[in-house]
Amino acid sequence: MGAFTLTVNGRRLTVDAAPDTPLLWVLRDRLRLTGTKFGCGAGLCGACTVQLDGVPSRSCSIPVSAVGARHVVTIEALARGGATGPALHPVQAAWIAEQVPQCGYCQSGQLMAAAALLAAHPHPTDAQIDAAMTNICRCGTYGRIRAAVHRAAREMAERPATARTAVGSDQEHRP
Amino acid sequence: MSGRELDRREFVRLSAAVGGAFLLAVALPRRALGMDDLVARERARDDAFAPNLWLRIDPSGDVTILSHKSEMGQGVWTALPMIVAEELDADWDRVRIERAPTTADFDSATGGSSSVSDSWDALRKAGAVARAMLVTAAARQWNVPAQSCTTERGVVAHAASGRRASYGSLASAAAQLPVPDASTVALKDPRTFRIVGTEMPRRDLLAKVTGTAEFGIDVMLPNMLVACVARCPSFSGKVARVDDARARAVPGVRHVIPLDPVPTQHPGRVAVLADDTWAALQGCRALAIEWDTSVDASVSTDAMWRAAREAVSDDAHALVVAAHGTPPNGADPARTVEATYELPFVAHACMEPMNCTAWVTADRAQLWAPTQFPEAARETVAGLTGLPLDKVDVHVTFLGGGFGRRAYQDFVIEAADLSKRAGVPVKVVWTREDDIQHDLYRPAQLQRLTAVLDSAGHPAMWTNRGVGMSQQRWWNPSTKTPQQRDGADNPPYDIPNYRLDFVEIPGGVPMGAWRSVRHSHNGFCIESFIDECALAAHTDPVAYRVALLDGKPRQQAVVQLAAERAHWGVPMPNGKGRGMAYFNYSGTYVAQVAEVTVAGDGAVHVDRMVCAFDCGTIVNPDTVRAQIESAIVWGLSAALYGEITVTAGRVQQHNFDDFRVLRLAETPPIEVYLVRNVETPTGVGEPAVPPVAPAVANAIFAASGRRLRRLPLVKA
Repeated sequence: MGAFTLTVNGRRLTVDAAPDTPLLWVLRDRLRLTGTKFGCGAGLCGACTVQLDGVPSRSCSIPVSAVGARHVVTIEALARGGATGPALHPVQAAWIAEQVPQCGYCQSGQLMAAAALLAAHPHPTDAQIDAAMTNICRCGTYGRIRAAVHRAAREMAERPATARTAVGSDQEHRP
Repeated sequence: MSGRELDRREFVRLSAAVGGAFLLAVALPRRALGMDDLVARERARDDAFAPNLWLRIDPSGDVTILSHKSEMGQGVWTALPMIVAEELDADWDRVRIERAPTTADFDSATGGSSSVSDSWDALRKAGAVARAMLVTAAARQWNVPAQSCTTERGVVAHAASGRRASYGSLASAAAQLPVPDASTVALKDPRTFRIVGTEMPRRDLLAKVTGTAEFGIDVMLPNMLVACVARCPSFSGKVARVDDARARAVPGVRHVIPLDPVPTQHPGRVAVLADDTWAALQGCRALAIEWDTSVDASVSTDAMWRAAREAVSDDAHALVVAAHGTPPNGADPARTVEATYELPFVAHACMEPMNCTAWVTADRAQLWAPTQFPEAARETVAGLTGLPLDKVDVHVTFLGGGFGRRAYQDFVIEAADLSKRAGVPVKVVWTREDDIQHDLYRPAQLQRLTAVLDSAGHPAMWTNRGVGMSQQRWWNPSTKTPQQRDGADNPPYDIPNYRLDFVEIPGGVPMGAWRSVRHSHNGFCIESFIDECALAAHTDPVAYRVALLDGKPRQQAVVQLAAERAHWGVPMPNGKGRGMAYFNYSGTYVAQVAEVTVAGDGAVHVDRMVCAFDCGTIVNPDTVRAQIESAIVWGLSAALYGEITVTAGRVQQHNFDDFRVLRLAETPPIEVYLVRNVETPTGVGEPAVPPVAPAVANAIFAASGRRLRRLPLVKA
């Protein structure tokens, strides 16, 4: 066991865990951030995707000891809190507008991947979406995911202020 | 109501409610899931009135539907309230759905694409009855005839006097009234619907995009332990020896519990219970177990296919399922078409791995389960614990995919058993490897079809012989009816002479319901074969199907609609082709056209899928479209890549690396065309699965001249 200091959704905290404990299980079992899902345990499906310094990362395959100083952002912090409740991130709003989720289990990971894609490529091509959105969805919402990524890109272009705080600026996010 | 003989036809009744609410209890038709292995039990109950849905109107004006139908992505949490709200004339913004109380006697199976179609009449009548009672309450208060009152968006109005009263303000008065006979309450003309048939945003999406939707795997209870389970790698094997010293030494591990095989449900296992999931997983890995898999030594898919290819000629052991007239008899070889098709075992691979949380004490059992079948879970746990049914509660969470897999009780049994033994709440979490290797697979099957064509080229005599392990036999070794099939497996065309039969071969692989159940076999085999018959008859495959559907205008219309939207008949470049498939899924008519490219090296790329769909009255069109898109992606995964192979009783696939499913980049554009009408609603979630594989196989033939008769079409 060891003590690891992490920055999760803008909050610094210390967890006691075996060094090989995947970040996924620290988030879910210790920090009760259950929006990040277990899907395959082998980095294959992407249900566990979080952002590390804005980079989409499969938390089932990252030992807690390897996280270091990188800022962890989970689905719980994708919407920016405010006095009147959470303001949805443009990808979340687009996901609702396109009615993407069905069972919903993979969607946290899909959203974290999509937000990171848009931060890197504000106007992604279909080929960039193909390359970035590799998470598995057994409900087959892929067509709507593609449409929602394009929609979010349009929304963010029209409201650049939203786009700037989209990802990577995790300190601003409330856990 | 007391002292009155209960009327078995009665299906709505007032229930006691607190705080001035109006609470109508509704008995939806009871139903088994339509799954062969689950239907055996007689579901009729002695008590005439067993409500399974409640409609509550609070003084605040909130309308709440309390339902047991599981939300597994198919959108019932939006569609069912829409039906009630329509006839109630409710304000849709004030209508919510909640889980019904779990201690009630309920029928809760969610499956077989039945939630809307089975509930349609009852929910409409329940809404109409409630509306009538609210109108009566208002009319009495105002001393005006009820017929002079109207309703709109949660308000009763009396135009002549200008008076208006909200449903909330009338709730407690309505709750004092007798319930009118539902048969006397008028239902709306479907052409006046203002909620049903409109695009209503789903009610579960905000939770699902913010990570707050609670799935079974998210359940946490005080003092709960997490269990992970080392499973015998063969289906029916057991633990020979276990050394758990290293597992017990893993920090956080609290118990190591060997578990015996449970026939039809589990092989032998060793469970590790720990403070958290990672400790439990590490504990499992630290176990040194010697398995005894000798019972499964002969179970392999290679042996199964050898047996099936031999048994297809075994007339003596063919069990006739349906027959009429004269079957093909070899009298006219020039007009005879014959082909054999093979479909492998396939796993479900729901995104949420199997899991269940149980807390079993001496006098009560509680379950938190992502299940399609909470009623069966209750009965199972009552049997396991010896507790009476009313001491077993099931809290149904969101389901991270169902597809038939979550109608089964193996994960429920495991959680309840472990909680009972450990004396604390236990959440069992399966790994993906557990899920892939210990599923209840879509049965593998071989079908040989034979047709004799008449002078018009239409099948006049038809034989369909299925060969495979028996799903019924897996669930009941002494079954007298091992055949996988029933009359619904006949082609959706009128063929005057036919014979449908089944030859059983030795089993040993667990099998269960997989989205569209037997029809995933029938769709591929029949619709591939119909294309082969069209070729033999020198007829265009679309024109051929339209001719065979003579006199069935709705069926013909979907075939023609899909063909037209797919530009059927417009020439394509070399290496590209279109394929048509049609299916009648219990009254839902669906036609699909696949467009594919076959490269010089034989590589297949699916370029486009077009689907025409007629499910009668559509409750929520966008949900219907979403379900069809989903079914097509599901069908493509299985058609292109899906195969589970077995050696010595062990599944050879492990995870998403070797059990490949479709990803976004491989998903073609999908176009859905819905037929709008006011016919009775039929199923939506499954019907678009069966035509996918044959549409693609037929397109590959059109593009390349290669007829693929075995799934998967592409080796993973």
